[in-house]
Amino acid sequence: MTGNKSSVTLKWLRYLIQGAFLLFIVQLVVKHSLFPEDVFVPSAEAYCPLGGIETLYRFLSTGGKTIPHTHLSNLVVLIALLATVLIAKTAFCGWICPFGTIQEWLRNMGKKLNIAPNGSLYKKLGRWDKYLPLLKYVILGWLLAGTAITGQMVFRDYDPYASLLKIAELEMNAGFIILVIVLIVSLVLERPWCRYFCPLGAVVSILGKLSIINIKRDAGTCSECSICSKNCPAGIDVARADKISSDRCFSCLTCLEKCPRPGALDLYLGGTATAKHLKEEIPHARQ
Amino acid sequence: MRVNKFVYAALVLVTFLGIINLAQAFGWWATSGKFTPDGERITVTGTDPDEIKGWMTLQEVATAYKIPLEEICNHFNLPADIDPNTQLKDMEGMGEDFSPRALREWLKER
Repeated sequence: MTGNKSSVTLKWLRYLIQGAFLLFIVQLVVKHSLFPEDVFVPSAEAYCPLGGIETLYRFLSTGGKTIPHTHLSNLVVLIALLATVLIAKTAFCGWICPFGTIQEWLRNMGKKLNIAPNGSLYKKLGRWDKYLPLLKYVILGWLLAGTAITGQMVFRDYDPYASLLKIAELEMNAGFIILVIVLIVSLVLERPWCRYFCPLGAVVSILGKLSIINIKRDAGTCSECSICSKNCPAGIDVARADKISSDRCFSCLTCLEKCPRPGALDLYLGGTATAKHLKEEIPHARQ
Repeated sequence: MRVNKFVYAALVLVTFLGIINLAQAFGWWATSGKFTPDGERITVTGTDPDEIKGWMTLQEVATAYKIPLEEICNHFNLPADIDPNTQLKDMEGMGEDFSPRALREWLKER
């Protein structure tokens, strides 16, 4: 499969989808900064599912009111995100999220500029890489509790994505400083915000356990060449897993693209991938 | 059952955009706090300070909550000659740390 037409097409299809969502948000940011009072030009923040999480408690407890800076659209995008997670796990992160796209493309640029070009640097972080991802759950807890208690977006001033969306306001707050740091670190690390701090990523990770489509490895078909592990941008040891359940995976499907053994790694709807199952479905799998 | 990678991509897009389009079609969509999903302009009712948004004017709030403008200006140490049609968000940081949030809190306590 490596380098064949289908894998190249899939990679570019993902880039195309990512680019389309990013472009949509960029044009909203530009239009809103040019015409801030035009009610027909919504703020890009109105499309952020994190706003839906922040306003959910107030919406439910008041019978339909939302906290400042959030609207019904935030809740709808959140529902759309949650449905996507239940079907395709972290596909939102890898295919749709504009902030994830920016970080990923910066990393690609970093590789092109020969800044830490040799794959993932996560392993070099050692224990830090093991425990730092817990921070996103802490941030989620703080954000939910803080917003429910105060009725305000307690996280907004620290949110780098919110700072990016209102970049034209040139507001120098903690979120802007975090944004600059995240963008710089993205040149050497894959998606640092998503991996360690994104509260939306925490929700996706928790709910993603219920996803009906998962990447599974068939140990019987797999030759354990570890090409998938070496190419995984999230640094997941795909070659040692039966099912990719790590919350670090952002469903880029690079492992599937790079796998040289047809059927060794694939997307499955429900059930478990077994060698027997695969042999029945893909008779040429062991050839 | 195996899922084709392109079907997977299509499923992600159809689910995500489908739900948003469906919500829009049923009128369950608003991207501005200035209008209800039915397109009616939102006005200050004077009953719940949490309804106060940054795009509302000082005059609108003063009228709805039946508070003299001078009282608001005195409390937050705002310039006496401030234009009452100034939006609250444009007054942020004026006087004694004025903000829509501070105004909401004050109205709740009052």
